[in-house]
This record gives sequence, structure tokens and C-alpha cells, in this order.
Amino acid sequence: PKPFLDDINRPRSGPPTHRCSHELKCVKCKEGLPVIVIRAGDAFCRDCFRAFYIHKFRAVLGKNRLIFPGEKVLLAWSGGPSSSSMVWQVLEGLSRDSAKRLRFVPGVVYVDEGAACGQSWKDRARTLADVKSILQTTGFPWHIVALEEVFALPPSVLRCSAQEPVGTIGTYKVAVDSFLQQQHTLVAEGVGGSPNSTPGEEQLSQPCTQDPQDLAGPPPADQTEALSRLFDSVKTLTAKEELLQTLRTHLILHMARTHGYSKVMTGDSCTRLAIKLMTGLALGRGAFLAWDTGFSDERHGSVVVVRPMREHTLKEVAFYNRLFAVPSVFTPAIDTKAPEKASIHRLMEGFLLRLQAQFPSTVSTVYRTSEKLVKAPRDGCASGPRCLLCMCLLDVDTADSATAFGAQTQDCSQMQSPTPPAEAPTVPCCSTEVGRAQNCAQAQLCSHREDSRACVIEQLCYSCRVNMKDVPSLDPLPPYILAEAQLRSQRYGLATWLGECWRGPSRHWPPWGRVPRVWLPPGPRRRSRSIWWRAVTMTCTPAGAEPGCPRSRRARMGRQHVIV
Amino acid sequence: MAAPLSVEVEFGGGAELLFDGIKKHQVTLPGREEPWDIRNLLVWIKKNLLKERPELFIQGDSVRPGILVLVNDADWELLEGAPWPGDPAAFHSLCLSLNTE
Repeated sequence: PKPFLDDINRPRSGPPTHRCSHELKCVKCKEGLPVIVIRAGDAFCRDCFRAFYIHKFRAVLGKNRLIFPGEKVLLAWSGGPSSSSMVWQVLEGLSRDSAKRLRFVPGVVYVDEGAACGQSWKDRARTLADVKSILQTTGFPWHIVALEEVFALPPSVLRCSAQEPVGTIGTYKVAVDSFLQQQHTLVAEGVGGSPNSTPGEEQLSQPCTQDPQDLAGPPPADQTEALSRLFDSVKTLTAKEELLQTLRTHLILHMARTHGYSKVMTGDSCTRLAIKLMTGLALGRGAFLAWDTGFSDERHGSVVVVRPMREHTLKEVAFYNRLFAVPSVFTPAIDTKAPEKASIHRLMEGFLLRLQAQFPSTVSTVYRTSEKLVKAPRDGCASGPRCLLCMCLLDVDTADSATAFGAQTQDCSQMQSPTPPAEAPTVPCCSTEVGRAQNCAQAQLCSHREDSRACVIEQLCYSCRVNMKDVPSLDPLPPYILAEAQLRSQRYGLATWLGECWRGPSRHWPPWGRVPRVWLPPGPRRRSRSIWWRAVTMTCTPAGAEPGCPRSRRARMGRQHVIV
Repeated sequence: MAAPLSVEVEFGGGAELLFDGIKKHQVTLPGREEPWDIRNLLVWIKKNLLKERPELFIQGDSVRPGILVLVNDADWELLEGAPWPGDPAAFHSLCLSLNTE
């Protein structure tokens, strides 16, 4: 396919000059006065635009058939235009006539990130008051959490919980039919009030629930300070944005698991996902783009993240919100008013929006490309160690030093922060003269700190490692991250020790490094690839370390018993 | 010679951050020889209303890519060619550097 050549328009510095507005009619109904131009020249009138917009939302949900009737879905609302539009669409969708209405049970969560952006509690309280009033009008159960609560998260949030088997289309249909039948039965038995009410609706009509930690007052000052310290210590805006996103995801995940939500909906629009795709490539997340930008993201196990707004461009969202008065709350973000070259995210956004202004098919082309990305597991293994932070399957093989990629990742893992002892304000520098014993203790502390940093770094994927380069000290990180890193390291240490007891010493550490991740050249010929593959594995794996060769199922099962 | 024009100009989507946080402005444009146009309006806004960071709003003689221009709640692209009769204009920012998602 030649997407760029197909609908390339002549570059223009302003709107095209060949139309007179009074002659223009809506392309759909041919009658109404157009208000918006979508794509490359389709003018829609107000009503047709509204129908088009709503239809797109329902179609995306219906096409993917991931959200089952009666399922609890958490809507992640940032206050921005796209997520506000999403919440509004859900609200409208639930109130329609019974044949077409949405059938899941929503809740809304808002994360207050003011501390990371350096806002005062007064400003945050003002924003929160607006947020609360909007949440109350939706009528959904709502939760407001401050980002500071990451300091109280348990390490279990980083563990991929047991994945439920993905339903097939047949399962979905069966679920829908049984749900409708249940509804009819309820109505027939005279239970549950009006014919349109569902078991879910009773929850909705309850007064809005709130977390036990009510946000009547500010979060604990030490947590706010810890969060500010963390973000101030990060050197670049790119790393700050990535870290913020990671922490926010963990927090929302925890909320979803605690309150029994099995799905999380985020309001990422088409434009936003196109920018995310390009940014992901620049940040080294190429292996995970399908999860980062696809409709569904199942890497967290029991909680699946879906993106129903992924076919709406920001322009359509902005127009819809304005024409139909969708409430939203402006919240300054960590990069508000940042200049264009401040971070990779801003740079990509500027690049794509500029290109889009001249070639209106840019965003949709990038989006169509992202749709083609496949979530095939590497080397045929669907399960394996996951990155500590982003929870994607690890794409790093420290044993593969022959390639440039391997050499780079080794550099990352061995990279220490420039001056670990001197930076920490609370710990006296190694050059203190207080006493030898103390010096000894400090030296031990320094080496311990380096060890714990290495212990965390080696459990990260490539892009998270690159991010951590801009975080000079891992101490300000929330404790759940460090605790989980320790736990995993100990667990694999035990596994290796047991493995050594069984088989003798192994040259490879960590054990997941044994699975060779060899980049196969692109090409359709399976036979030649397998011959090449066998040649490579025979030359580079040492005798005795066997992973590339096909192993008997029994041998593989035996190894799995060792990993606790 | 066009007479002074009183128009309502609105900023949204985070663009109001560049204008002291005020969303709606009622402005009076001075008279000039040719009739007022959106481009001239932009130049005037840059000189008189824009408080900071012009590069986040204007690029050259047009708006920065990522800023929507609406005239009377309709897309600017529908208007072009036809003169701007002084209808309320709005500038809505789509840029994530001025707002969250």
C-alpha cells in the first residue's frame, strides 16, 4: 500500500481557496449548513457530525467485543477534552433506549497530579472542587486519588495477576444473550422497577461513593514532599513524563483491582496515539507499540486497558465538546507551556501537528499503521519475566553481547549513577573524618546502593533502562518499586542456586538471559531462517546451555519447577 | 475605510493560559483601509492581547498547527475566500503542551 501517495494533498499554508461558504452543504445529508471539515475536505453539518461521532464510539466498542454486559469498567478521566468526551459518551450511551444502550457498569477515577507539577494545595483544591461537581453530575461512582498515594501502594501492584481466558465472539454473543434473558426475567418477575433498569443501574443511582481517604484535606505532607523530591531529581522532561505515566498507570491499576473493575477505559484520541507511537519508537519501545497504542492492552493480567476514543481525532473531539457543551476541567500538566524541544513528546507532537496541517492524512496514516501491529510473543514464548515498571515482556538479553543492541543494553545495566555517595543529602560523604567504623559503614552503604540500583535496572526493559539513566538516584522512588525489585531478585537468586545444585554452575545470570533473543532477518522463507537459526545457536551457545535447541517437554517442565 | 469593529474573541483548550487565563475577550479593532480579516486579527492579537510565549500561538502569519480557528462556531476552513464579517472568533488549542488528554 502506498498511503502517503494515495491522498497526498498539495501542501497549504492556509485553508484552500476554491470554495464559497454559502454553496457548501453537508456531504452526508446534502442539506444542512456545514460546521466542521473532517479528514481531507468532508464538511459535516451539526447533526450529521454528532451522529458520526457517536456512531464511531459505539462502533469501536462493538467491533472489538471485549466489554461484556454487566462488567465493571473504570473510566480514567484526566479532565482533558478526550477523556471528558469519553465519559460523556458513556453517560449518553447508558441512557439510550434498551435495544442499543451500553451494557457495562462504569465508575470514574480522577488522579490529582498537582504535586508532580509543582502546584500549591490551594490551586489543587480549587481544581478538585470543579472536578467533584462534574463527577457528581455524571451520577457514576467516582474516586479521586492523589498521586501521592503511590507511596502507599503494595508491591503486588507490579505483579501480573492471573489472566482470564480471552472470550471468543461466540462467548460474547452467549454472554449478551444470557444478559438480555436475565433482564427479561427480572422484568417478568416484577423485580427491579422499570423495564429499562438493570442490576447495574441500582449501583448507579446510589449516591456517589468515595474512597475512605476523603480528599477533604490535603494528602500527608511527607508524601507530597517525597513526590516533589522524586520529580525534581529527574533530570529531563522526557523521563519525568514517562515516570509520571508509569506511576499514574500503577495507581489506576490498583484502584481498579481494589474496587473490582476488570476493565479500564482511557481517553487516548487518534492524534494522541499517533504521537505516542512515534514517541515510543524514539524512546526504544518499538517492541511494545502494539500494547501501547492498540485498542486493548492486556499486559496487566486481570485488568485490561481499552481505548475507545482511538478513532477520534483531537479536532473532532474539540468540536464536539464545544458544540455540545461537554464539561471538562483544565488541569495544568507537567509540561504545560514547555517549549517544543523540551522533551521528545513535545517534539513529536509539534512534528506531527505541523505535518498534519500540510498533509491532512498524516495522523490517520500513522493510526492505520498502528492498527497493523501484531501482539505476537517473541520466540514463541508467551510468558516470561516482565519489566518491573511497564510490565511488558523483557526484551533485553544481556548474554547477547555480539550485537550492537546487546552491547548497548549491557552499558545501560552496568551504568552507575555519576556520584552516588555525594548526592544524598542525608548520608554523610565517604570522605568524612568521624571514624573508621563509620567510613567502613559508608563504603558499605555506597556499594549497597549501587547493588540495589543494579538490581532494579537489570529487571527493566530497554526503554525503562534508558529512562532510569536520567534518574540519578533510585532512593526517591516509591517503596513498592524497590521492594518488588528486591523480591524478584531474591527469587531468581534462589532459583539459580537451586538450578546450580541440580545442574552445576551456569555462566549465565540472570537466568532469563539464557533464552537467546536473536534477531532474525525479516523474510518469508521459513526453511532458510531455521537453518540460519540453528547455525547461530550452535555457534553462540556454549555446550551444556541448551535453550535454543528444541527440548523435550519433560525437560522444560523440570526447569519450570525450579522457578518458584 | 473600514470602521472600528467590536468583536468577541474566545480562547479555549488551554490557549487561555497565554492570555492571563481569560477566556472571553471583547475587543475593539481599530479602523483600517481594507476590511478586517482573520490574519489581520491574529497580528493584532499578537501585538495587543498575547501576554507570553507567542511561539505557542502564532507561527509566521498564521496560527500554530494545533490551534483550531472557529468563526461563529464553525470551522475556519469553511469560511475561506469569503470575508470575515466580524463574527465571534474562537481559538481552541489542541496541543498537549497546553492541556492534558
